Amino acid sequence: MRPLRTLGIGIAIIGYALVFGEFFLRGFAPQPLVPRYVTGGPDGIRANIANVAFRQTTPEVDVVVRYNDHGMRDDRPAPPLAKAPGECRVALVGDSYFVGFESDFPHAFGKQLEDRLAAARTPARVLDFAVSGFGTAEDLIVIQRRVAAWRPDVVIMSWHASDPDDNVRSQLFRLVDGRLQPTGGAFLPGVSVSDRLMRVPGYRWLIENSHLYSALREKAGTALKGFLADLRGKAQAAEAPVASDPATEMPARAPGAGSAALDLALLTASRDASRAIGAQFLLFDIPIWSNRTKFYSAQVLYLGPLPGIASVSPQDAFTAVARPDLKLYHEQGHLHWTDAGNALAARVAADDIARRGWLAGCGDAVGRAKAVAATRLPVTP
Amino acid sequence: MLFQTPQFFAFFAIVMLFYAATMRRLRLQNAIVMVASYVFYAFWDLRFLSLIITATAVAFIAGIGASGARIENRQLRNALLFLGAGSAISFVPGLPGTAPYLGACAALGVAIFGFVAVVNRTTPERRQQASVVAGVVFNLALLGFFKYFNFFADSLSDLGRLLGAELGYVTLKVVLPVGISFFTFQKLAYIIDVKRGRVEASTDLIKFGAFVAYFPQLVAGPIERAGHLLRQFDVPRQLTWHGFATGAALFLWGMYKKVVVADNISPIANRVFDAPGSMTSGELLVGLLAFTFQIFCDFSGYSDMARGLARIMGLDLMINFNIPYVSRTPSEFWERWHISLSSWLRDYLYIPLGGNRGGPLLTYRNLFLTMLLGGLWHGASWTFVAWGAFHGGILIAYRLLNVDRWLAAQPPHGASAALRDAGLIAIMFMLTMFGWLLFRAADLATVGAFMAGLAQGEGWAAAPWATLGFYVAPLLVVQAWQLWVRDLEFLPRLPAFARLNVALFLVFSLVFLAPTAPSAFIYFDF
Repeated sequence: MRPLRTLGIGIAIIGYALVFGEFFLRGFAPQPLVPRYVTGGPDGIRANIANVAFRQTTPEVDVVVRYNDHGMRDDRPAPPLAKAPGECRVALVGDSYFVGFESDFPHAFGKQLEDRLAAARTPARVLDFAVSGFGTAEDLIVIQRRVAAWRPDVVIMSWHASDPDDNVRSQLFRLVDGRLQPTGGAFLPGVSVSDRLMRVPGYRWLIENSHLYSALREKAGTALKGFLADLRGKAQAAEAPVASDPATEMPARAPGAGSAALDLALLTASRDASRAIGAQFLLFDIPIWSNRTKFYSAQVLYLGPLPGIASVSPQDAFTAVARPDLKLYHEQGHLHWTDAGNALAARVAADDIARRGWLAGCGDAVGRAKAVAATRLPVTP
Repeated sequence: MLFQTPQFFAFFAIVMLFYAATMRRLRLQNAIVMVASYVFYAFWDLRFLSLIITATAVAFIAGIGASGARIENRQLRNALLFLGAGSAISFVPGLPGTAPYLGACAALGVAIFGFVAVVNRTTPERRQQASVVAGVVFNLALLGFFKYFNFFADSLSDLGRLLGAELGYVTLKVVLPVGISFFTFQKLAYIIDVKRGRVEASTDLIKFGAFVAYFPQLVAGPIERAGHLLRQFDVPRQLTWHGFATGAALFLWGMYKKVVVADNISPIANRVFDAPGSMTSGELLVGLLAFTFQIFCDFSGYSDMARGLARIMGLDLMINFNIPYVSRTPSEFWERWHISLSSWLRDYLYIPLGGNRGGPLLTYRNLFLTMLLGGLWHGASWTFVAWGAFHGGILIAYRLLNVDRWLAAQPPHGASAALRDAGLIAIMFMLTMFGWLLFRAADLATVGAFMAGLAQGEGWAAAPWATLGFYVAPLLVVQAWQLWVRDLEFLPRLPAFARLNVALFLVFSLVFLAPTAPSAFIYFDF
């Protein structure tokens, strides 16, 4: 009886500790609850789970994120695969910034871009293929395998500070004699576990509501990432960028943070893959938040000038409007853009597309009218 | 290797494995403690490991001599072997100055040999005298060189420039070995205590090495007395569940104070002290309050962690802090704050200077000098000198006003006593805060800017009071409870369910409220 009693007490203490932890975090350190809802795609990389709606709650926001029947961030059903005559399409590939995490759909980057393009009389349906956690290597596969069939006119790819490390870690591509080669492998970190957990009753409730679970998962993820980075002998890459130039206060690329040659090859391949499907390619810089009035260009930091690749950064636009009382990033969440940040970034992207005239020739008058109407479709309740 | 890092936990677990396996072999266990302490120190700075080994060998010989006994050949041989082992560290690749260091060690070895040869031929009294002088001079010279050389050289040069003379000295870039103030004072106390007959000289170099370098208190105290700690290396230790539980609780509480409180409020203080001229009065006040609690939690947190670790190992370290911010007078404050240093200064400086035996004027002089040197102990800076002078000044002022004597004659309980004590505590707390301003400021000009900013009297509401309150409130609750139950370690006496809740609160705070990167303890700089 004694071992059973001890076991019982142990289980009771663990149970109580979990409850205590949940209340402790809610009271003293509320956690951002930002579930991702991703699963494995047939192309060996992650994909958003189709037809789900879930909540993201942080001390700053409480929003519902919906993935449509094709796993795109959209409150509306996806349009037919075949383009209507005169219809323009813009495909977004990237990570959670382009998914519009911590924003509701009308204020997410994709929808804001769509609204901006419509206002500029170059209406286009924005198809959001972004998946949280993606790096350039996965983005390239998305263009090749998922985007092509939708025949977009423009592909916009995000460039984020975590990409260099992700590109190495994913091991989806490698450089052989300076040429990019797919490894043929898959990169589905944590997917099998999360798929299994998703089948457990109550797990969805847990990821959307439990502060303790969210905090533990975040800690474990950070620790695992640091451990893997250590294993690859580049511990500093996990926290990139770290150092800074005292003269400019510009952070420096952390030693060992990815491979510049690999990054460049992936970007070039992404541009070529976009061109191969008849789309223009635009690289969109996700500025690194330092404080409310200071942002650094991830592109300048990690890539520098990119001859032959069209790119744009909202950094100057962010800096121009920055004020100590204006949040462009959610500071108590996962540092995604706020509604103001999304709107500004979308404006920069739309202005750049307009300046380049990329959508000017893709639609006729009928198509434009349809596209304008499409952007006004009522959102799914 | 900071106490609050996984690296240290792994280190401590390995040490405890060997430690527990050698419970019945005292000498071997002492050797494990000594080697572990040297490994611990090497993680900080391998360059100075030889310094501590060398200083241990010198203090060992000086201690035996200070007892009046002849230094036996075996003891001399062990000390010289120790010295040789220390000098061998300079062969580690990457360490600078192998040849000069070996030369210095060889010279020291010859000096020790010669010293022993000479003192062994004299009378016990002379041997005592010579050993104490040699031990004290050697230790103070080490401390003076590493800690104060640049300060005095700079000050002399500034003075010369003020008088129109360019003294043209060469500034040496002397790096401060971590913990040197602490282990030097510990060795000094040992040599003097041996001379005074308060402790027996150690004839076991392993045991003495473990005492000098005992890793939980090596780099920031408490400054242990041989009469308390060295004796514990003579007897077999007991590893008990009670020792583990109470030690772990003490460690956890210390870690909470350091990691959750001190490290989270330090940005408030740093911001204010970095640019006091651009802050509102409210921000300055919050910043000063933040530093007041930061330094307490940082230092007392370290002490508690050290005591907790020692207790897990079956050893006892002295209490170093006893709720100092409820002191009513400066003398009470120094009985509660950094007790191991203040009692050291009392026993080895204030009393030898004459204490209060020579009339009021000499007493004031002794108090002032003791506090001045206590300030200088913290570091080679005029702000520390000013801090020491300030505390010396208020000790004298309270003494002139006879506050302690008056308090002793007053009824200790009742409403009026509570009101009186609250008033005195508030005054003493504000004086202490002003002291911390002197202590923390980069220079005396910063103190001026700070005071001018405070005098503006604006911007009280906008200051980060809530952040400060959030982190300090649990500390105040615990200290109020400690006062109420008159027990610094009340946790083991709480009901099991309450203990569980306190433990969970501490653990969750440490896991989820701690800043991402661990930061070093303030007193490691001293």
